[in-house]
Parts: sequence; C-alpha cells; structure tokens
Amino acid sequence: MSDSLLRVDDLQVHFLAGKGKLVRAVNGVTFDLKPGETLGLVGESGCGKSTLGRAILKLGPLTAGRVSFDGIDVGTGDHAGIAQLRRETAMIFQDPYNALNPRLSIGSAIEEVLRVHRKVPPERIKARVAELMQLVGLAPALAGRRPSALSGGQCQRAGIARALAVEPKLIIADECVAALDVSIQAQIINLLIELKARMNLALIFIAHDLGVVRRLCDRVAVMYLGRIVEEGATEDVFDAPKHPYTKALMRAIPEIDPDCGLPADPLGGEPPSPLDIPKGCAFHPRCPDVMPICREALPQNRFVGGCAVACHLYEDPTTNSEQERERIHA
Amino acid sequence: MSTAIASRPGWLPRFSKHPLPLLLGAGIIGTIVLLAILAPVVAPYGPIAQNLEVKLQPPSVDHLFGTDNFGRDILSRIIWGARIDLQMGIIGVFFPFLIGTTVGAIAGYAGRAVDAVAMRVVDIVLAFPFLVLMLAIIAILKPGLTSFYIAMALVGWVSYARLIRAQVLVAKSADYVTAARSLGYSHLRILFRHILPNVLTNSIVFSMSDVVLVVLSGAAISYLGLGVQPPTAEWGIMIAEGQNFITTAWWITAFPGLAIVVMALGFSMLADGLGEKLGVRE
Amino acid sequence: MTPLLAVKNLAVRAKMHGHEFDLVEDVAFSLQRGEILGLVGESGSGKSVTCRALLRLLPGANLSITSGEILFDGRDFAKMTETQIRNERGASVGMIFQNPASHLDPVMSIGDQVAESIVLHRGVSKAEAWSQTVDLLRQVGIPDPERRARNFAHEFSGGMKQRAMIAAALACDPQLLIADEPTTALDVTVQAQILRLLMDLRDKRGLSIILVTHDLGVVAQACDSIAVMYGGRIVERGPKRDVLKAPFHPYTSRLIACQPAHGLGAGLLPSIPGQPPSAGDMPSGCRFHPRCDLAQTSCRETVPGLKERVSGHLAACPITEAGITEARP
Repeated sequence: MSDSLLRVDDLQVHFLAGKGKLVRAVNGVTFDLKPGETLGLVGESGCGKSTLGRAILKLGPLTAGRVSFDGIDVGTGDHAGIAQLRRETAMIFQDPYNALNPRLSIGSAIEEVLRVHRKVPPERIKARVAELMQLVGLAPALAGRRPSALSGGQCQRAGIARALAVEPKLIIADECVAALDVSIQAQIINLLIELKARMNLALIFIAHDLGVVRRLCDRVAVMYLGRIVEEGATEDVFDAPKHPYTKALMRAIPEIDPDCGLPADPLGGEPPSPLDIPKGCAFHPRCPDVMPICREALPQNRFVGGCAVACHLYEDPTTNSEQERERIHA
Repeated sequence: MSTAIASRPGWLPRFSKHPLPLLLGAGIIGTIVLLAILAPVVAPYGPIAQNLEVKLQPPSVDHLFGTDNFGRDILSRIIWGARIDLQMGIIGVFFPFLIGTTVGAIAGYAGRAVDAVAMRVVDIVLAFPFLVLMLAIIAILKPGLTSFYIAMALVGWVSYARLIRAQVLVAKSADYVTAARSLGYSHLRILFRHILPNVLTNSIVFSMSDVVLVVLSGAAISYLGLGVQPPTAEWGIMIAEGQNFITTAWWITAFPGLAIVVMALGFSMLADGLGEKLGVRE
Repeated sequence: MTPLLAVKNLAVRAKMHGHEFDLVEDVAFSLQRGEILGLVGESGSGKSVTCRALLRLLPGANLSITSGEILFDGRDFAKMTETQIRNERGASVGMIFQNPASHLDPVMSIGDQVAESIVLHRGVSKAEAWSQTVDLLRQVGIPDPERRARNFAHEFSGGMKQRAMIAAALACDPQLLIADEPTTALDVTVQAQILRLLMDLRDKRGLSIILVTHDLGVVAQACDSIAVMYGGRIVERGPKRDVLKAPFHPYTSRLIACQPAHGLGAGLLPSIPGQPPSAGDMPSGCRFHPRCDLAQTSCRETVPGLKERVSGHLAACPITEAGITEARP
C-alpha cells in the first residue's frame, strides 16, 4: 500500500442541517488511489460524492476516519501539511462560471496561482500563463477576458488551466462536464484524457453520467447514501455489474441505440435523503432482490470477480468478511 | 449583445446607455461639487460678510435668495455652505463605510465567535435611537465637526457591517471561493481580493443614499448647536438661525432647506442609478 | 390522416438595444396524434424558444413571432387573439418544464393546484375536481394519492414534483403535452421512471408529446421521431430510427458520435470543434459551416433548406445530398 498517493480510510462526514437535523452524507468510505490513476465516483444526487471529494481536500468538514495524501494526514494535518496538500492538489468545479472570480480576468486568475505558489520566476509568469492556456486549448489572447465574456466551455478550460498551474499530483473534478453542451463535453473529456496521460495526474472524477466515467476512468466506485456499494476496474464494473444498484444505474443510462428501448421496469422510488438513512442496507427499500437480512444488517464488502461489492447477495455467511478484506489488503 | 454594441455609432457618447437617474443624479451632484470648489469665484458675496444696511431683504436682483438678519447674502452662504455639507457627507460616510465593511467582512468570513461578538455589538448600537446616540457621543466629546465625524463613525458603521456580513456569508460558499481555498490562498487574500470586490457594489450604492442621511443629521446636529459653529456658513445652521424670522423672512430658512433637498435628491438618484447600472437588487 | 399539429415557416425575432435578430427561423414540422417528437439541440439552438412560441408564451415583449402558422387541429394559434390562445393553453396543450419546483406554488397544496385548474377549465364542483385530482395523481404514479394531494411542493422529491407537474398539465385532458427538458434536473434512475410515465400516458390516452431535450439518449429511448435544431433552424428531422442510424446532416452524425455513452470502451471521443453559435451572432449560410469538416465555399453563402432524402426523413445539407461524401464521420 506504500505506493498509493491517496488513502481514504473509513471516512465519515456528518453535519447539521437546519432545524438540528443531522445529515449523514458520508458513512465509512475506504479506498486508495495510485499516482496517475483515475477513479470515477458515481452516484445520484445526495449520495455524498461531492461531500466526499471536498472532505478529501479539506475543503469541507470531516467527522471521522483518516485521509492521507502523500504522507500528509489531511484530517489532523498542521498548517504546513495543509499548505503542502494545497500545493499538490486542485479542484475543478461543475459550474464553470461560478468557479471563477467574476471580477478577475482568466489570465490574472491563472497568474495569481503562479505568484502565490512561486511556481515560476516573476519574469516568466506571462509566458507560463500563455503556455498553460495553450495546454488546455485556449488562445492566449483571451487572457484579458473576464468569465462573463467567455463561453461555458472556455471557462471550464480556464478552470482546468488554473488547476494545472499548481502542478498538482491529484485533481478532483466535481461534475465538471455536467453543465456543458454535449459537443463541448466531448472536448473537455478529451482534454482530461490527454492531460492525465501527459502529466501522470491522479484524478478523482465525480459524476452522475456513467458514459463519461467509462471513457475516462481506470476504476469506478459507485456510491449510494454515503457508502461505496461497488468498486472495481472500470471494465469489470461495466461489463458485469454486481450490486443491484449498479445494475439499475447501468440500465438507466439512455443508450443512443433506437433499438434498445427504455427499460420496462425502471428502478422504482427515489434515493432517500441522507437525513434518514434506512436501517441495514440503505438500498433495500428500492432493491429488486431484497432479502430479509438486508433490512437488518449492513452488508460488508466482498470481493467478487475483481470488484468489491457491499451486498448480501454475495455474502457467504461462513466467511468473516473482515478477515477476507484484511487478507486481500495484505 | 456584442453586435448590438457594435452597431452603436462610435461618436455617440458612452453614457447614453446609462440609466436616466444616474445621469440626473451625477448632474446635480457634479453641479454642487463644482459650485463648492468655485465658491470664491461664483459666490457674489463672502460667506460671513455682514452688511446691516441690507438685513432681512427679500429676494431681489442684488440678493437672489435675499439676506438674513445680519445682512449676509443667503445665496453666497449656500454656495459656501456646500463646501461644509459636501465634506460632511463624504467624510461622514467614508469612515463608517470603511469600518463597517471591514468588521462585516471579517465577521462574515471568520464566523463563530468573531461573528457572534461583532453582531452583538451591532445589536447594542442599534438598540439606541440613532440621533440620541449621536448627540450623546458629541456631548461627551465636545461640540464641533470633528466630534460629529467621530460620532458618525462610531454609530454609522453598523448598517455597512450588517450589509457586508450577509453578503460575505453567501459569497463564502460560492465555488470561486472554494476554488481559492483549494489553491491554498491565504484568508486575507481570499477575503480582500476574491470576496470583497464581488460584494462591495451593494454597499457602494447604499453609501450614496447614506450620504443623504449623514447630511441631514449633520444639519440637524448643527441646528441643535452641537455641530458646525456659527458664524460658519452651513445649511443646518442657516435653517436654525432663520427660524426666529420664519414668519417675517421665510427665505432665510427656505433656501438652505431647498439646498438640502436638492442635494439629497441628487445623491438618492445617483444611488438609484448606480444600483440599476450595477444590477443591485434591493 | 391530418396531423394534430402542423407548424409551418415559424420565425421568432428578438429586439435588443434597437438591434433585431431571429432566434428561430423557418421552423416546420408536424405531429400526429399519439406521436412523441424529440426536439433536440444544444443551448442556444432555439428549441426552448420554439416550444414556447407554439403556445405564444414568449418571455418579455422583445420577443415576437414574425411569421408562420401553428395549426393545431385546424386552428391557427399564431392568428388567435390573446383571449383565444389563453383558452387553448392547458385545455388543448399542456406544458411541463425542467425545474418543476419553480412552477409549483409553494403555499398551496399539490392537490389544490391541480384541482384549481380543473375547476377553472371544466367548471365542475370542487368535490368533483378533487376526486379527479386524486385520480390523476394516481395515474402519474404518485403513491397514496389521497394523502399526498394534501402535501405541499416542498414535501415532494424532485421526481415526485415532476409527476405532480405532469398531473397538473394533464388536468384538462389536453391532446398535446410539451415537455421542456423534463428530466434534465433528475437523476438517471428517476429520469427513466418519468420517461416511462410519459410513454405510458401516450399509450393510454393517445397523448401527443413534444419532448425538448439535449440528450440524444432520451430521444432514442422515448421518441418516435426527431427534429434536430442548430442555430435556430431545424437541420434534420425524420423517424427516430432513420435519423439516429443513418443521419444525413453532418451535425447530427457528429453529435451522435460525441455522446460519451455512444460506443464502447475508453479513448478519445470524437468531438465537434468550436462552439455553438449564439443568437444575434449567427454565421452566414449554413449555421454549422464553421464547425463542419465537410464545409465547402457554397455552405458559407446560402442557407440550405430541408430536403426530403428518403421518405419522411429530411435534412438541410446539400453536400451530403450531392453525394460528395457521407454524413457519417
């Protein structure tokens, strides 16, 4: 495990919403990420994927568990540790306009990063801004423009250029193509594919669109109500989804094949809110394969065909899954 | 949009696209400022030049706005008074703006204890009626313009603090602020370079309308004898001095009163127009 | 069979700062009873303006219909008075939107909102309207409708709100439902439920639906025919299978190719360079020519019209028509 860049161990994020209600957004998430690896974090709204992403970068609360990035303990890290985390990570956001300061031109937004982190000597700054802009496919002539004078796709490119200015080892991209037109979406996905290959960038790609994840990611983690219910190599998960929720998600992707119609029996119900998580397996009220045990006990991770699945369907009652997990991790 | 702007002939002045209140307000305030600066040139008489031979004259060709009980020319006193009243309005707004913005921004950004303390102080200041508190502070210090400014700064900042705090609270959770945090920027940088420039417009617009309030309370304080001291030409004092003659020589109070109304109108139109121009929602 | 809706030569013009430009031009299509038409396009393509223009619900006074016919069951919506068209809204044509939350009254129960519309248009008693409401809510798949009808909008989840919107739109039994991005704000599993519901309503009530969307996947699953819009014009339309499997317009084929869900595996996606044009700043000739890899000089000069290529399948591209090259990338 020493070769992992990021280790998230039993992470929990709970916070108070209005009226004293406790939102249990993330409930025990564990995964590793190697340098240069891309992990897709998939799930519907309210599953905690964005909260998780922010907690990893210490941009949001962190209730329990450990996050270690490149030797830094993010949860308890001191000032120097967090400063180092900031120098080695960056984030890309969903709304390309909102993620940029509306009063700063995109050139000065990129420039600011270079200045604050002293990435290049002052006389090289202008050249480096132009370089970064070209890297993400923006004409350097646009440097003087404010976000409002640019299109959504151009703003997203500027956001990526700003993230790259840090020269990060890890980028967390939160739904970064969801707000873009399809033809622009493809441009941005291609840009990310090229960049991660060129720069050995680790990427956590948070998305609800499975098609995008399949294109871009080495591994996929499917989240439901704050837990990872299935995790594995992208091809394994897509070719043979195991968790009933993953299966339902896959079936719900609208294929652009006119011969492959709408599923006759789409998954019923809607994700319950993280304010009131069902007992046992959180998915049981919607699960087509629900069993009595699902209402009682939380399923442990089990390793099936290269994927980790948290579902009682795959649980061998004689196996102690904790032992199993330790055996595999060891 | 771009073509719409491009289709405008180049020679047409740019402000033709500005809202009408902004133009009118800027016109009025500009005129007052110009008169104040050029007072020695445009005012027909000195501000305290007495001529008892012509005391209590109604408006005439020689004295357009008439004269007071010392024979001083009302028009000249109004023009000279504009210097004091403008200065009062600007300084009386500047310090509250500065203090209020800083306190509000820090309270909103830091949250928790800092915010709680700052907001309790705001509550305490707001618990007293505005003028009563002003008068008390000035009385403790000593009557005069400086005391007025100090009192204004001590009392007036609360509205700015509340305004800015509320907006900083909203802006704090905006993506661009999270982005700035993720890039490792210092709190000072985030607050003053990224948040403040985006939330300042409301306060600037508010400060324009606040000038009206400050000038009016400055006039009121002077009227009560705690602000600018006679014989200085100041609109509030002029009204105060004229009230003994209100039945016999209405012009002594009416014209300075009108001057205050015009200036107030100018600033409030400027505030309106600026608000419209900068897209501020009330 | 005469179509339920026939739109001919529709144009919508915008006035801004004394400058005028067309948002939508030369839009023509027809819709049979019980047909689901997918109106597809990227932002700024004019798809939302088109469907609002059908009901003359254009926002603001600076947008106006400058030409065209909107023949609904023989009546021309474009020529009606304001009162006449108001009577058609809801009664003949219902409409639902992307964000149901902003179209539901937060201080009125869901049931009351649906019932209000029934009382208003049908003049039945309140009790009768309420029982029809409960029945409608049941039809759109709201569980326990007697109780949920008394709930307020904030007590409904996103998917349930959209179901409630559909119930309200169907309250007066319209023949046509215009759905403007009805599933864009919803999760995929809920999207599948809503699309299934729309198809069931079509099957049971013979409802015609115009489904406005940017997602070709949604169209592929739920629609019978497609109209693809680009830069304020329909560039291709025809039966779903024909358009998706053998597109004639380069934009359609490139758009299909760049869907991330299209095809298998990893690797670079085919993409369309540049960005969609914005209204008021349209390129000359074919609106797509600056981004088109097949573009020729002629594309810059003349605006191509829709031509029937095979029966019922029209496209506006003279290049692929002349057989110079295939539309497929």
